[in-house]
Amino acid sequence: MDAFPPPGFIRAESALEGIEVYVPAPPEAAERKDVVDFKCPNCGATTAYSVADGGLRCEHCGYYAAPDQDVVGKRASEFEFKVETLEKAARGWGKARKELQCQNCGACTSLPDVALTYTCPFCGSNKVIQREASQDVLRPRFLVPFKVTPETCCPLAREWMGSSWMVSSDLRRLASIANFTAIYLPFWTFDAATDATWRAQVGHIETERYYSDGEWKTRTKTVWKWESGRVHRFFDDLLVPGTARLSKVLLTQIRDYDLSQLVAYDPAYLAGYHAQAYDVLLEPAWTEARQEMRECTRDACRGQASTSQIRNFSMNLDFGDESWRYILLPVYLAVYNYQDKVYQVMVNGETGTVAGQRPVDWTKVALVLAAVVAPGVLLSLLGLFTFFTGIGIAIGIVGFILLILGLIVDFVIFQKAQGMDDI
Amino acid sequence: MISDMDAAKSPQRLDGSHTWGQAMQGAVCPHCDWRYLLPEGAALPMCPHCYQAQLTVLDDAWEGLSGLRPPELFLPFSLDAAALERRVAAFAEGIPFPPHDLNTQALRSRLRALYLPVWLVDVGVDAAWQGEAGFDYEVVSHQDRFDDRQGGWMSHEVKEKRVRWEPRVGRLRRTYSNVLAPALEEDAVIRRRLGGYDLKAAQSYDADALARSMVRLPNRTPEDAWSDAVPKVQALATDECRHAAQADHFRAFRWTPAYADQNWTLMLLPDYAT
Repeated sequence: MDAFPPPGFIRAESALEGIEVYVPAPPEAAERKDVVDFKCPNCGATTAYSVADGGLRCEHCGYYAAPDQDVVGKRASEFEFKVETLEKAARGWGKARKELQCQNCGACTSLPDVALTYTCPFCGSNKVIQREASQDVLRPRFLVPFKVTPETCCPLAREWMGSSWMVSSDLRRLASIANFTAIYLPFWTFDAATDATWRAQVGHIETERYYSDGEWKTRTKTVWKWESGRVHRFFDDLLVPGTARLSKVLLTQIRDYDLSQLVAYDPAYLAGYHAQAYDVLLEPAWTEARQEMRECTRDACRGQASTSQIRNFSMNLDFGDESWRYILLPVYLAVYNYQDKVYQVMVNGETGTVAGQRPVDWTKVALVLAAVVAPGVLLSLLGLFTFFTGIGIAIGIVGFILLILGLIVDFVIFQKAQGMDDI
Repeated sequence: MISDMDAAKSPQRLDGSHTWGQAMQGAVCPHCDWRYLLPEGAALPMCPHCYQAQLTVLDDAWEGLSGLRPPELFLPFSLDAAALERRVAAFAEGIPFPPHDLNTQALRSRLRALYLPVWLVDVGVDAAWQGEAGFDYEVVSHQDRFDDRQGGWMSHEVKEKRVRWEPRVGRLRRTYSNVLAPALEEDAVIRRRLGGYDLKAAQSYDADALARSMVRLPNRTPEDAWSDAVPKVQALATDECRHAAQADHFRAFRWTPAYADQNWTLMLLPDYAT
């Protein structure tokens, strides 16, 4: 302790006279404007984040500036479920709208309170709103930048449209896709360890011989035995959408984000893009994540049983090391028209994974369903007609088995077809 | 009673007019060498420690008494006669197959009130310090239970207390008063045998307290006892730094203290010897 106070420490309030207390200085708080306006320092034109260049680009003069932030990946800070945080998080953003006056042209715009960015409809300037959250940790602190360019979304979507035989063969050709909207959506990530102990009666099939009617016979019976075990699981970065305004089914299908690419929040990444703050609060999102974690843990417990016949199953589960993050993830949204109906499509802005609604060609599906059960039906009928010829019994049995298998396959295909336009 | 040989030497005495409140004289046991202080002119008893010899007056060749300041505090004897009787009896009865002399009556007849000294040191400290301050906070966790027979999941919210540790540094300029330091070599053994004292009941020194009792003289000098006082001063400083930092816990305390203005006085603790 040669130099006093040591570098990086600032004086704090002391509760006792005669004792000075110094605490680590908080990180330099960058000047945070309510609204950051993105204008080219060279020509004054509006700048926007360019996915191809990975930084701010002026389309007029070619000016380029890389964002300040490095990739932090999984090292991005996580937060505990402090009582104080949960209480403040429960207040949310409220329902109010925000009135913003454009510094560029003076026009007034009314924005929903969850909007993080906007483009002035009068002068086209891009703005990022730095919102006041009830706690610092409830501001977006990390995001994954867009990696997929807007130009590649359309080909990706058309390829996805044609990737299933259940849709019309002309869908790719005739669907008119409106422009993709690039948007940063709010997501919660959750970590937790689960420690579960379970107990259940597990059924074992046993064969026994018994004597009846003057002869030895065999029969099987289920013997139930108590079993127990313990399961530890760790869940890392379970993603839960922070918005209820978009289809949860579709958002779940595109959540293959690589969170090792997380960067610290910088408004430059949002310039020219839509971005939304969370509208699903922390606690409901955590409840949803916990349900998923405990179901996974329950499956793991049941998987430890020596057979799959289980009854009177019970388990106690302790959650530990729970933590969370609030992040923004890139998504492209679009709708397309096909035969006068509107369908939604989403593209993961990092990996290019596509999810959405696809109109099912039910004629084609019906033909396939019929074709799948046809061999079973035909052979069963043939077996029935040739029942008295001896070989008919064998044909009938094979036909019946094929019919059952066909019906199972049909059921699966039907379910899948029905889910094609679910959102 | 003073022997002829003792009378030939000039006895060690403390003028009580402005310090001890009464004139005191030193005495020593020729058998075990324990030294005592008792009111001048009081009859010299058998040594309450070994009971092997009568105390003799300390001569001036022993320098331990010169400059010995009067006690600052003392704990008065508070055990009543009946309680003392019961405890002596319980002690005597607790010894299996005791020698004939070790019985309640013999012990009671030799019982003598004796004050044991401990040093009290006041010290000023100027230091730079550092440590980790711990702050309590609560997190919400969950314990869930699933039971087929009860129809599914039941969730139970639990609050867990955790400690957040943060570095703190600072400077300290404080005075610590009445820090205890052992004045006897046997202090640790005596404390272990007799247990602790309620030091909150300490009173300012009163010469009347010594009317019917003796004082054991320190056999450790302040210089020697200082090494035992330092950890106590550090413990006090640690707690004060925790308080100053408004923390719930404190650990890894380190400091570079400069001590000044040491002031040593005595405190007398009551005990009975037999």
